[in-house]
Amino acid sequence: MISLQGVGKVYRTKEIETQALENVNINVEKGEFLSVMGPSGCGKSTLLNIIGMLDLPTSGTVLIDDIQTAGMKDRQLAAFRNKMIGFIFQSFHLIQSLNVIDNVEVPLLYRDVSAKERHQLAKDVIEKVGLSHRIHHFPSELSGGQCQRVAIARAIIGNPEIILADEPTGNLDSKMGGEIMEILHKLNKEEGRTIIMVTHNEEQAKQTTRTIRFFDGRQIV
Amino acid sequence: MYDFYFSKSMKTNYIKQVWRYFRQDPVVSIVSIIGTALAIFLIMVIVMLQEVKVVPFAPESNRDRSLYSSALVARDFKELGSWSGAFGLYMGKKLYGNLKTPETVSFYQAWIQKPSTVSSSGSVPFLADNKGTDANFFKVFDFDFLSGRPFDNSDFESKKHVAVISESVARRLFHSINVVGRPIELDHSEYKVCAVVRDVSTLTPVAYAQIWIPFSTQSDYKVQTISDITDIGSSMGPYAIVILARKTSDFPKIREEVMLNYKRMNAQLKSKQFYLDRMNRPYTQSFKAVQPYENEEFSMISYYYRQGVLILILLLVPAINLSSMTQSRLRRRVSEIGIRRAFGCSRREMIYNIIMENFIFTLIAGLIGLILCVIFGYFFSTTFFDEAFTNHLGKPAVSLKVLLNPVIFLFTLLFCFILNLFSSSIPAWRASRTNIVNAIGGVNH
Repeated sequence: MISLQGVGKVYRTKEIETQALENVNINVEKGEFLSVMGPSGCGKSTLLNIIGMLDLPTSGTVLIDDIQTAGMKDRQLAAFRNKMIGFIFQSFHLIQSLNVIDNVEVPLLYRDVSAKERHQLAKDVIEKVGLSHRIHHFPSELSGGQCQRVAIARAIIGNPEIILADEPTGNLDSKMGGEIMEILHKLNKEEGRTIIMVTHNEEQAKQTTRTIRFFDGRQIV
Repeated sequence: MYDFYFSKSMKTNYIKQVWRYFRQDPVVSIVSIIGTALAIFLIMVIVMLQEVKVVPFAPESNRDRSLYSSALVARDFKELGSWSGAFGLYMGKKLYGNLKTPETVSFYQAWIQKPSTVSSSGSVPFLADNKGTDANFFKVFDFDFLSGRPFDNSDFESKKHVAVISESVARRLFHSINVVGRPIELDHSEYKVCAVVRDVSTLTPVAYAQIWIPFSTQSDYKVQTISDITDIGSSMGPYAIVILARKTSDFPKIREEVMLNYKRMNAQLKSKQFYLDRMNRPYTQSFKAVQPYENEEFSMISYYYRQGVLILILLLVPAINLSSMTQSRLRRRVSEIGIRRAFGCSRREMIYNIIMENFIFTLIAGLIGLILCVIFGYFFSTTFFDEAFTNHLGKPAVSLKVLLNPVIFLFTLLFCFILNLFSSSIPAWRASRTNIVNAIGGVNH
């Protein structure tokens, strides 16, 4: 499903050059739930950004669903991202001016889906994450756990094959974190979605199919 | 293929989005909209001031197929100078009276020098603007006759003392508009009312007067012959000419006829030590409306250039204002831009999104500007247009129908569009170039 070969990423400023990733080789099978662990600043999020095509690698190749992402034009990348990938961020990153249902609908705005259909699909996924009673609320009116549920609903509404979760429980207490993990496992097991999750939590990592570890931009396990 | 840009759901989305920003920051939004509306209003005032001079409206409904000549320019052979003035009857008739191509040619008093005193038996005398015309005048202009009919050629030739009066003059004299045949006293001469017409706006200056009489009945009327033309002064007089063409495509042919007449006349004038300079007359309505001096060359191109520069400056002010507003709004939305891009919005869609949202803002401002124009034109038309048309007793009234001309409305929309492009394209382009990862984190680069 996902194949990274010799991927490297260097951040350059006028003064300094930082090697964020170095010669990363990863293969992720369809339906896998992979967790990525490592200390802060080791390149976990950079890895996720590269897989999610939010950032470009400095070297190496990235294949998603056997498709080479390098050289894609912005429009192709956007469409590919829209179809293939759903993101869940640690800080939720909901659009504050939109209510729950409008936030969830965002990925479908860039597809040929009628407003009515979009609305129905959004309602369905919101129900799936257990927030049907909050659809007209704004993010500022929700708890952290509820915001993350909205973010999950947004990530899955477009039915993407891959879900990239960057510390999805990092800002939540253990109870809410547990609930979010439950939803992710359900998505993986029942719907067969491929999930790559960055986490600092060993317990959560243990529950996933496989764990890879990073240190100073290098994959160590 | 899915048409993102014009899909119904996206259009609804833009409107919803604009409404949300409006609610989020009402003060900034209102200031931005009002500022833009006022700028558009200002531009529209300039356009409207121009438009009322050019667009056809009653009784000058045929402006688009009319040609005008209101000055005779004469130069002496010694190149000592040039003179310009209205036409004497002889020159006018020789140069314009025999044209074959037009539908009709009319001679009229070029200006209303001073108002006439008018009264009827039992009424208090008052001043009214009086214009001498020929009978064709009422064929060129479509006056709204409330009663009676205009004087005809035989009335004109027989110097019959008849007058067409405006509705307000009729009411002031007789408290009625059914006054055909009633006598009035006009500058101590008796005339009979032959018709009453609806009041004419001073914004139609050629047709405008409050009383129209055959100029053959005026004291300075004199039939001239060539022997009367002894010098430049004697070739001039008080008359101007309006030519009604059958169609605008006849204009070149009419001008050619006029040119031949000038040639013939100049051949006759050789012994008089002066010649007539046609200076491309007769003029169209749009040229006549902006031409400042009768005897100086005037370039429409440089006029439009100057007007264009002025409008551009007026347009740039709100554009800069809107641009900085858009920029600051986008700075606050940088994270949203990142999120949208992460979930499948392309750069081009992002630019389009921002431009569309801004367009809705400018469209609202444009509509407010247009409404301001109409309110101003309707309720304050007297003061609004007075400056340009000060010398008359009548009102510079203009109907809403003229102000709501689709051309003006399209102008407003065009202004909105240009303003929108000026103000939003650079911020939108910059926003679309923001690195997605940085943008999600709220970093604007």
